[in-house]
Amino acid sequence: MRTIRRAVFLAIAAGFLWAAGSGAAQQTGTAGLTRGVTQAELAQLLVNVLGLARFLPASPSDIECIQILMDNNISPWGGWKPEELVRLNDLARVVVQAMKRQSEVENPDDPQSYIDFLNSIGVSIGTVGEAVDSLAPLAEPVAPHVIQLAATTDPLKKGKTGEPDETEYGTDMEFVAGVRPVTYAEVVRVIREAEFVPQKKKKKPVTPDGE
Amino acid sequence: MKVVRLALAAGLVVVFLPLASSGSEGGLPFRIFNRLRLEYDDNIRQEEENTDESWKIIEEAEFSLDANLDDTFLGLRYRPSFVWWDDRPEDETDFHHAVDLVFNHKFSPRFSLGLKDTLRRAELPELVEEGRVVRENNDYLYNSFEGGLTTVLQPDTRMDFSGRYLTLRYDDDDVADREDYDIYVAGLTIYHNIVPESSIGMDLRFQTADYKSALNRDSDDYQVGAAFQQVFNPNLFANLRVGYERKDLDEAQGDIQDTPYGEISVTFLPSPATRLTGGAGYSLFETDVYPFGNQTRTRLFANLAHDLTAKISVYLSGIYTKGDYDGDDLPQGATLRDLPAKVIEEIAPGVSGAALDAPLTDEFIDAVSDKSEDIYQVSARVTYKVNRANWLEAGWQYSKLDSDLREDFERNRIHVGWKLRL
Repeated sequence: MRTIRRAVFLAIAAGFLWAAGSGAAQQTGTAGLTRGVTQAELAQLLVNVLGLARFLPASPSDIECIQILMDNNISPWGGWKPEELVRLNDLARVVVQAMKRQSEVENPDDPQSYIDFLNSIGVSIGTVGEAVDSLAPLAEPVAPHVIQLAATTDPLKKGKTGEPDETEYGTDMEFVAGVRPVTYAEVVRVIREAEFVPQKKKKKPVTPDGE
Repeated sequence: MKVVRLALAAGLVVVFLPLASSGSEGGLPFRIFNRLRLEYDDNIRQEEENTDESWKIIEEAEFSLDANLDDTFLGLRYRPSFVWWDDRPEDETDFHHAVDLVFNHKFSPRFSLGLKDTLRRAELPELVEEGRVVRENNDYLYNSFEGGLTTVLQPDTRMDFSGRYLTLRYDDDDVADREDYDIYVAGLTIYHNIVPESSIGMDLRFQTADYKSALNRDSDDYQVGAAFQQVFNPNLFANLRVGYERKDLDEAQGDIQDTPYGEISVTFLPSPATRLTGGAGYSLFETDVYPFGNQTRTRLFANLAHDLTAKISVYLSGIYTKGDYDGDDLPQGATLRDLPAKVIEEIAPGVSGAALDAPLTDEFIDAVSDKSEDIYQVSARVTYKVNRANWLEAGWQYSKLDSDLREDFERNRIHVGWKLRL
């Protein structure tokens, strides 16, 4: 057993080193990747600035980022197409949705209205970076992560069912589906033991003050 | 404990050093939210009969700090919550703390690092009945530290190396002796985009669980499998994970459990105002039912979010969990006394005294091999956005445990709340 364990950890460590080495080597050869921003890359940026990254595993995949954005009602015109380059119309729509101000757009079906609205409130979307910088974490993030991560089979991602006092499956469900510190047996055992200890009955007070 | 403290100290250094430098570039992006809730709970101790109910007030603050630099993102969140119970005589208050740290850095377009830490400090008070302590003070510290290294091998191929360290520590020694654990996970995933809409991947996972209990519940877990991601259309995404899992239990009645595992999740936007997520998972899993070292878990879930208007949103969630238990997953040396009381009463009624302390016979091991639990959880919530700084909400949570091992219960919680962005 120990040999297998050591072999696995050694393989993982070697993999990390190799990945780090190959990554460093590739830094010099990245010219071919320099291009416009894809929707997948935009999704990766958005989950950070909108405070959604904490609901995802470390280094989430593009699809995971897109899914949580969809859950929060954020998507370009025509939905997410991970490989497509981000266009100005899409960026404007996504930024307005991420600000949760789509109800303030004059004509929600007109892409130009989103751009006009952003201009009117002084938000620049000349570049993806500028647009993203104007965003803040969502006040009311939709959190299907609570159940999604609780249902995963992946030990790298699986989470607890709820957090203390979260609005979905908060405090005490944790002790059912996650960790219950004391078992039913313990409680019953203590109560049974208690039956053999004579209980001293308190005398009823003679006067209202117990004197 | 020393490891946890060191991790925390290292985390603080990681957080504050980059922030100190980003401060000069344009100030620190701080945000504060406050959420106040009034909740009615009809079964505060999760009992089957003679349930106790209570109102409670939950005051929760959230402090967040995000630094978004060129190639680096750093997010820190601290969420303390204070709970006051109207009718819980043993302890009227709880104070919980939640800290989330996210650090992502892109070394190059092809190479990036992600770190994440999830820290929870929660209180569960002691329970005193008839002058005796039934449950000790169960305050605990939970931490999950994750790291991932991603490298793009080719424009269509990505490789992730990931690791995770989970730890759970109870304050009370008696509880800690049974439940404390350290779990280490390592993983490798390689994804390749076959076409822009489809990717296929290979998953390798290794997990080792070390419990602190006297009975050995430790295990090593291996997963080998495939992963698929499919964009059916821009409004319909699906993930699938399938493979083979093997769990080696260090000193169990039966050494090895193996099974296929599988998981699917689908996100669907049927209309611009509606989001639907659903899925299912089946695998071996840890359990909190002492002294078992394993359960086979099946879980189904669904989540619906719908915007009734621009200001009003409705959320519905549901989970069904089934846990199957096998006598082979009991540790060697386990006795009848170690089993849950409900099981003892069923398989060995009338047994008492020294007989309870004898190692389990094959007859008893077989008798606990068909035990299972069903857990149902439902949540509904509606929020109303008053303006850009205020939200009102109301919600209902239902949970039900139907178990062969533990006390069954049903529980309802209803709340109304107000959230404010300061």
